[in-house]
Amino acid sequence: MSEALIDLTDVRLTLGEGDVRTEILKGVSLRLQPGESVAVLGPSGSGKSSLMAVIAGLERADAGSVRLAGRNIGSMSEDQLARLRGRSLGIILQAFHLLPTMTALENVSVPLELAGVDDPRGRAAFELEQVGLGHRMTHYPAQLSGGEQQRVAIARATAPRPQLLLADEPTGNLDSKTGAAIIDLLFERASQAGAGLMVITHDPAVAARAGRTVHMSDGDLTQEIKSA
Amino acid sequence: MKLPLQLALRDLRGGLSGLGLLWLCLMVAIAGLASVTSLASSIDRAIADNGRAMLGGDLSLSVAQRDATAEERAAIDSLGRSSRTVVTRAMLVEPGGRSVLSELTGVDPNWRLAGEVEWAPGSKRPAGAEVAVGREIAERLDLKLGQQIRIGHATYRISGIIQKMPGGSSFALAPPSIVDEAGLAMSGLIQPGSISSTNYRILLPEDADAEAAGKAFQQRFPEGGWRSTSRDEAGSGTRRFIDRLGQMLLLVALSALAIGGLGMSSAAAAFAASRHPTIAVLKLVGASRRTVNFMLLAEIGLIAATAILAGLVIGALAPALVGKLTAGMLPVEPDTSPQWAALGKAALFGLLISFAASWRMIANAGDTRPARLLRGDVGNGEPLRWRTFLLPVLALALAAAVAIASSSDPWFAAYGVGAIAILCALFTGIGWMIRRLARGAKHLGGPVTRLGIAALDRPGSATGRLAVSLGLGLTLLVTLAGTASSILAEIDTTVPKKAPALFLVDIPRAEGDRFRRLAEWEAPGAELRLVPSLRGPVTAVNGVRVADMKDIPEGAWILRGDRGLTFARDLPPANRVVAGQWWPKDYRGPPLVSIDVDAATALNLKVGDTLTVTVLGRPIEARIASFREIDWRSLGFNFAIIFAPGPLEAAPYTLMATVAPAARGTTAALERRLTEELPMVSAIRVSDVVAEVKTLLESIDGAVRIATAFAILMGMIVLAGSVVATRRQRARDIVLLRLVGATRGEVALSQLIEFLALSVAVALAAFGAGVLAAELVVTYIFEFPFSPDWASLALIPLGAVLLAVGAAFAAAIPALNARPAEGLRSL
Repeated sequence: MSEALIDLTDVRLTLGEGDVRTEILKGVSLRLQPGESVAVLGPSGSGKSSLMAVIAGLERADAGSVRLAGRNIGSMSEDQLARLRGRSLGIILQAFHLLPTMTALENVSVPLELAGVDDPRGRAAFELEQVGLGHRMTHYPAQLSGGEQQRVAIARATAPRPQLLLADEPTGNLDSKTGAAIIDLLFERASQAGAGLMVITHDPAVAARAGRTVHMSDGDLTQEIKSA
Repeated sequence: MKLPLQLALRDLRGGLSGLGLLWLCLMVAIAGLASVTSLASSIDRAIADNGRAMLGGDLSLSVAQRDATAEERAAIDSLGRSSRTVVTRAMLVEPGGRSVLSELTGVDPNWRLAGEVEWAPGSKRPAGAEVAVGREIAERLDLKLGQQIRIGHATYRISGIIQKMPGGSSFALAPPSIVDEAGLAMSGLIQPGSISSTNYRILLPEDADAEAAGKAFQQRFPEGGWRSTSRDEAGSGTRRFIDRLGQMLLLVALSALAIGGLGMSSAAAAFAASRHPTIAVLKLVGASRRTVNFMLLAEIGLIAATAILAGLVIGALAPALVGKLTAGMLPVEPDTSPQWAALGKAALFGLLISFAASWRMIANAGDTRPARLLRGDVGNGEPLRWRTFLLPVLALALAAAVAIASSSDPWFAAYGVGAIAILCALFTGIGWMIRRLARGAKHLGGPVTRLGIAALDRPGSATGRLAVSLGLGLTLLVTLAGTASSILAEIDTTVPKKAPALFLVDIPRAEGDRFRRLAEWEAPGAELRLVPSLRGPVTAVNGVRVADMKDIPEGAWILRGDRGLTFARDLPPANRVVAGQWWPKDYRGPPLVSIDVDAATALNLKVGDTLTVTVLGRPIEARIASFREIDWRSLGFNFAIIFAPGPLEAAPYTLMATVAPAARGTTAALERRLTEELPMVSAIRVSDVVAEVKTLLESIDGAVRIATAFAILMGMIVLAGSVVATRRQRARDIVLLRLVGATRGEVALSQLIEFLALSVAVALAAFGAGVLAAELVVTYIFEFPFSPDWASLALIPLGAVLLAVGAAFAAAIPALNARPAEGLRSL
């Protein structure tokens, strides 16, 4: 059996201090194989986004083990985590989070430049072509529609050829038609790149596109459904 | 390094977000600093470059009260082309009887070898019974070309009016007048023992070492009492004065930079906060801490570099501007070319302070985890990491070390830097106290008051920084104003009471009794004091020739130039023997001398050591019998060197006198009689001296106050900038207040309470600290009673509070004017 892309064992996370200290993740265990896709479904506040933040190394788990492509990220420094994200992870967020002062092309080329890739702009241009934005490369985020901004975010996430794509409510800020197109694009790009995909969502229709779906409630995974 | 720079340039497209304040603070501070360093350096350079013109040659050799011997003259002529002048003091009397003291110079045909005299139109060089007078004399006595004036025993026609002598300044008690050699002889003023000096200016060959030539001459004629000044030493007194004034201004400018640094640190914090989303995204896509830190550093560095550059341009223009404003007050026009070393020093300070002010914010932003940045959960309770403090502290220490090490008086600079550090600590403490008090009082009063008071202690509030930035400048201004007004008051009130009204010199020895009679007749009841007067340099100490000494200690001014000498049987008033013994009244033994204890300490002398003084070319070696503590403030005749009667009695000497008129009496009649009966006597009015000293002090005080006002302006910028930086928070508070029914007036009042509470507390503390510092300076350094002008002193904190509240209010206007609906949309 090949090594799991994501391997979480009994992960716990608590945020806040003093009286407002809250246990967000209460012993989550999850595995994802390379190339596999998984949807995490659950209501607001169930801990879905925190789970993704732990996998991306944005938050450090208080207990349990978080392994990404065989590496224990719990023992990595902030800079090692940043390098790992730059090379192996592509992250897509609900609010797009593009850099407002950079053009679409520059936004996509930043991770490639940080990773020291040859011809970052050429590759970024290619990625933008792939998401259908070849004609919008020199536009700034404020000049793009929500759907276009999310396409730029997808291009930025896939540009470094990551092993894993993490998408947190990628259609949350979009209308249903645009959202559907974005989900199509996301799954298509993940499968073209052969990357694993984890989508956080509360939309069962989106979840149905994934190879399997896990439900999250009150900080723990409750059930797992294999898609047909 | 290339990528962070690219990222920085891309990021800056989004605007300066708070860096505008950093730019303004740094630009203004560097402009002030560079102006001060440039100006001091340009005046110094101008004096150094114009040494030959100021001196009137490459080398000046001068001797008191005599001419060169044939052998000495031959030695002078062998050095190069020379010009001889004889300088004395004389009363110039106009036909109406009004008189003025002048420095009268008799010049030979070669005068002047270097440096052009600026003449008024129609002027002509004087010959025979002609005189050229300084512009100030012409103005004071309403003289025109062609008019007659009396000098000594002769009458002269005014052939020229001197606008400016090379190296002359407007601060001159005795303005210049010029006659030729025949003209000087006609006056009859140069008699054995009269106070005069003969100067030889020499033009040396191009490659000659003027200082070495002077030393060699002094060594060849060691007993001649010759004083040598090379072109490089010309204007050394002015250079010392400018250097000291420059140091004071530099400290004020450094304080302004420190205040600006606080504003910059607020600006850097606002900037780093505005960049949190960008940093979060960069970290999401793989940027390391180093990349983020370098990107932020590059952004701040770019802004700082343009601010420093703009400040340096202003600083580079300062010498030309100040040269125009002070035309005639300085002996030379400042050199208007860029003073690269001075500008470089200002730029270095700017870089170090910008780094110190911004590094912690940069490092914290780079260290924070992206998840916290995305949540906006930053800035509250950031742990203090030594790494974020170490580099700024090192940068500050380096700035202090540069300030101290590059100063010509490191101790003065060290005290100054120390004082700035202490004041910063003091006002940080006061800021902390204001926050504590606000925390305790925030439940008092209605909602408007509560909001105003609570704002002083809100998370991220700049109260501490604002306390330092307002307090530092204000304390400096109160200290300076308190010191200056105390000293001026002392000069205004005490000097005229204590000092005699008139000092008279060059009273012929044989005319002493006639002088007494005239004084008793024309100024009945006046207190008279007559003492013998001679002049001569100290030429050796314990047998070691002064000419051979490498360095003359700072306090050993008695070794510089000619000194006034006297002899006395009794210990003069206002003098106290602190070591050794005063000689008996009837002492008739080997030469004895008593000297000023401070000069003795500077020279490390003991009672029993010997001092050689050359009088009229004759060296007199005397044993030191005692040291005296002299109360210089007694303002009578005070001599650092007093001989026992004996050797000097035989020398040709003149008498000096002081006249203190009886109550409500004046010396005007006596002065008029003296110009008629004893025309060789020069009169120095104390009121003229006081006026000159006051003009000089007021000019210094003015320059330093302008610099200090600039430090206060800096504080205002920081305050207004800090209000602008908190505008979002303010707008939210204001919108919420207005939503629940507060009027615009009530909202404005809440802001007023905040600004007023802060500025009043800081102004009171600054006033107290400033008055205390001024009292210490006046009492212990100047040894004057502390009597400042309280009314004008009290106006300073009052004005500062009004200015601060005004500036803060102006900065808060956009937030006050925001309509609730607009505000809500942006919440």
